[in-house]
Amino acid sequence: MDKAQQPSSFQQLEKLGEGTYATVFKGRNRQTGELVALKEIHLDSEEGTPSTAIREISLMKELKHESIVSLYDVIHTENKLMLVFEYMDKDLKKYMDTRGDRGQLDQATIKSFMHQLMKGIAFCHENRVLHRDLKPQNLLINKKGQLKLGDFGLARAFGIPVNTFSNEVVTLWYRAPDVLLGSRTYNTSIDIWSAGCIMAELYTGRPLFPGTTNEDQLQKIFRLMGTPSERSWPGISQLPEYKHNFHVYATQDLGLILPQIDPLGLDLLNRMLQLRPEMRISAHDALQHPWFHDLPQMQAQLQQQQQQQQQQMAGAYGGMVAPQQAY
Amino acid sequence: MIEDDFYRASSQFRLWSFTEASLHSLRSETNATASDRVRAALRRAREARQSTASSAAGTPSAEDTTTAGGDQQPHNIECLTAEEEQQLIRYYCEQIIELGERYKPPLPTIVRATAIQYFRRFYLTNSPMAYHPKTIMPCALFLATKTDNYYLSLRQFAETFPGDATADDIIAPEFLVMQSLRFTFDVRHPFRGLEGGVMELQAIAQGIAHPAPHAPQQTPDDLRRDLLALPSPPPPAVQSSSITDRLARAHHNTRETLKAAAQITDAYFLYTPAQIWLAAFLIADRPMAEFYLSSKLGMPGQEEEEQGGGGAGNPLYELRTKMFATVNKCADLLQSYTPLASDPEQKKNLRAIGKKLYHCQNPEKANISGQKRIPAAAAAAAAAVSSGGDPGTSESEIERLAKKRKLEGSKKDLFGGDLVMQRTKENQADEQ
Amino acid sequence: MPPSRESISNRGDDDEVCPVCKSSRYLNPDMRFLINPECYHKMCESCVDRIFSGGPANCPVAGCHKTLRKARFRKQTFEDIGVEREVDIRRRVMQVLNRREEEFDSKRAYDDFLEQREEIIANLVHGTDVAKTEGDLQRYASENMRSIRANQALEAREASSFQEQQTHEQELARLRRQAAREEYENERREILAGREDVLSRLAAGKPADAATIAREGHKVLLKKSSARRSEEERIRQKQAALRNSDSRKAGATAVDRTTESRDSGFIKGLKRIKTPEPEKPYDPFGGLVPNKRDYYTLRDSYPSSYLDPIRQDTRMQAGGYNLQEYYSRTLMEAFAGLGCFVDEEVARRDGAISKPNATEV
Repeated sequence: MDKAQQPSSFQQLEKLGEGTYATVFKGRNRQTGELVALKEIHLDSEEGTPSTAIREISLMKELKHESIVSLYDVIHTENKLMLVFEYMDKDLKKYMDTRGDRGQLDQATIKSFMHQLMKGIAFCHENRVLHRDLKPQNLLINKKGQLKLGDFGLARAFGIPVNTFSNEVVTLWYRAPDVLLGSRTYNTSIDIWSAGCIMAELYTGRPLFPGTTNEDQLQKIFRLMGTPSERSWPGISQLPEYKHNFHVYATQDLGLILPQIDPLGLDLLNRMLQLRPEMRISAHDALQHPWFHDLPQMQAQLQQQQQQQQQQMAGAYGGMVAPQQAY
Repeated sequence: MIEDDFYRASSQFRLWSFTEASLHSLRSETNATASDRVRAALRRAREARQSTASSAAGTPSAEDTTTAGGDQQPHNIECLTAEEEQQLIRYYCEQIIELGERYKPPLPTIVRATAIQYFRRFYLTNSPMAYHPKTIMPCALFLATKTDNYYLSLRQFAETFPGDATADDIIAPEFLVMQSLRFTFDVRHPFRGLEGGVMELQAIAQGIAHPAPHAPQQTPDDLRRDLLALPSPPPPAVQSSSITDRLARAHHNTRETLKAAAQITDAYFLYTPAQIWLAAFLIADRPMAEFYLSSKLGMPGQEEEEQGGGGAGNPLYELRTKMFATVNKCADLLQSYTPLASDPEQKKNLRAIGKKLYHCQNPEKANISGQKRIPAAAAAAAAAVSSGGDPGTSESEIERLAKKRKLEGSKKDLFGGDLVMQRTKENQADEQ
Repeated sequence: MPPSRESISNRGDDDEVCPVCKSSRYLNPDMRFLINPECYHKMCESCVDRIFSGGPANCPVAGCHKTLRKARFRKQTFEDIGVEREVDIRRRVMQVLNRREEEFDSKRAYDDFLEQREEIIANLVHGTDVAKTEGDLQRYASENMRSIRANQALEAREASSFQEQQTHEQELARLRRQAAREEYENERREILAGREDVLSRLAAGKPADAATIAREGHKVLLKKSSARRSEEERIRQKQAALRNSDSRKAGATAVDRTTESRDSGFIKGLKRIKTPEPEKPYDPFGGLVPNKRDYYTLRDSYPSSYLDPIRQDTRMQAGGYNLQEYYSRTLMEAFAGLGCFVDEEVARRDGAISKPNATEV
């Protein structure tokens, strides 16, 4: 099992990218020929094995789900630790760059991806795990059109009351306003906010709130979603980063900047992008949203598309390798 | 049941749950393997010494010894038995609990409990004769602070840790420990479950509890009435107090059982967290625990009268007998635990085991992280013996051991490389 | 025909002699040789004209009694006539046995198919089992006519240049952008028009009506934009329907394929292409009921002196803390595994899961 494997049983191929605390390589199982992703963790930290790595291994050993990338094995060599993950072809960011019109995806693909994303999140939340770093680079796509959550380096278990979390989580662009305002009691809803940002990006091909600093990020959010007040969000003024002189913006119609989205999709998106964490829809409820009701029909359509894409891919993109960071 | 499947998916159930028989045989196997290795290693060490003494003489190879000299002097080395190993491990588990108090603020219960489980899991496949508990214990505790998100830098951790173990010493066996834990770090404890149960019992006491899914005929008022009508737990419990006080007392006592007895017995290996907290609760307040469990499964009388067909339609009711038997068995196990401090006989016994271990420690495994730590390991071995207050180990004996280890350390290559990887840190330190 | 081939076929020794009329290239530098894939006997162009212009005739080479037609004579591509013949056979077989990798269950099955095809080609080339092999091939061809044609069409489509495809896609994207721009312009115009309308009405009406007029103006605008949106929606649905009908057509051919190949059984390991199942209603949790529990029914809140302060702390709530999650977690952990009897279940699975090996091994 874990320790019987020799590192040499995997052939190390090209580098796929740099993860949060490790380097990811493509690898091949010498016995089966199966492709894997090898996440190499250097053990030269002052603290022994980095706790991010330990946390990720720990969570991945418990979370087995079709929408979460699988950890096959842990291997050690001289001075490094190697996590062997299921191989995925691309991350969502690269996928959007190579497919679709300027990163915009078609309806059926968006719905399928969002469904798988919400299923993965729901499973994590059901198992009391916050991902805390959802972004297109951390969502992995394979040729079968499957989407899986990867990089649990920042993820952690939650649920103990009065637990304080660090607020240095999630890439700025996908960070929830409660976290930006300095909350340390955030919860599952921060993953939902990230998912909402990702959904909008799937339609436009561009990040929804590409902020440069904490303040800029908040401003970009408020400009679109409206500036919250003590009335719309009780207790907000007590959050550490709250400023009484926030520029007051009126709430805009998301539909105006996302003309491609259908009314049901817009409704779901609005429920995910609620400023007040309490008001944000849960992953469970999101899965029951009527927007997903025509998913079976969409999927049939998607299968057809995929066959064509595969042919195209073989012809046009054959042999192309996309770097990934998400393991 | 749906909740049960959640637990079945856990690594604790998949990898770390055993039957009494399989647990016993696994430990015997580990003990037997380790004993063989210790004997072989000590023999090699002696021969190495002899060969260095008479350096001109031909060096006997390892193969010769295993075949020709195999049975030469095994009676010289008395190894620990599996039971003795258990005693030793128990002692160190109690040490982990005590150690946690030294930190300011004290380490959370959950961190200590996780460390104890790591430690116990580690010694399922490793013997104290190969890796002295003294070296593994701090590492398990530090690892637990990482996995339970209780941030503490290694330096801070080492400062408070008693003895002369350096930060490097503490972290040295980390990989070995992680590997022995099969990289599963998520320990399912019974503590949070207890909080859930108490929370629901409080709701019952206030008459606002929802009935259990498989006993829908109960009303919140029924539940409250039944709870209030429960006979008092047998003395020494305080009689005639409010239900809130009674619940608080049971809560407290259950927690104490979970902090010690549940950690130091084999409870985690043999039972599930839900069974463990209910068993501890049963010890604290039997009538209340039985009432609570029954309220989940459907009342025995009601089932037959009101639903006619007995519990046939209720899958939970069918498990009733088995569930009660299991929880009771677990309670017996928890009650069998007596702390070492309260048992002079055990204490004396432990001192003997410590002495014995001193002689049968595998010399080839002593240097987990390099030669410079050998004197420390020897001191640790001695400290383990004297920690019970035993002044028996003489200074000269420690020195002798240290010398012996040093000698063996210098001859390390003769026995082949160590299995445990060298810490990079050290290599770097050498380079700098 | 690319010039390289031309030169290959025309190359040859100057003293090459036509086996039929014995005239040599030395005397007749323009002389060209032709072959007929029936027997691959080589002869010069004038012999072909002379012998076969009047209709089918026997091959003039001694001992060869094949009936040849003029139309099938062609230039030789390879110098070695054996290679020429093998290439022809290969082309013919591959045109019939044109299964594609994605039609197979596994890579292994596809590899088996490739091997089988090579064997057939080898048989025909070397003349082993020719009658049976040809029979098999013909039977397969007639049984799988449709899938053969479908795959041929697919190949042809793939062969059409990628460039073409790309310009097409670019054109589509351009159209989409243009549509978006137009839409934006329309919207802007409408907003402006609406505003002017409101203004002019405001100018005409009494001041008390101002609010009403402004509100109405806003309403009209909203109505228009929603009408526009429903128009878009209609177009989108139409497109989706079109795409659906495409996929249905493709599905239909797929079904035919299965019925064919099942009859024949000549090629193993082909994917059973499923008839698209009647559409199932959407099931968000894959058959599981969320939040269904066996041991407890969750309340919205629980009395607790420990938790009550948190429940009342707006700062905790504002920051996103959710006590519900605490309740559901603690109760889940209170009962998760209560009905798991470790001794029984572990004993049952023993052997299935290997015991942890001693690390020292």
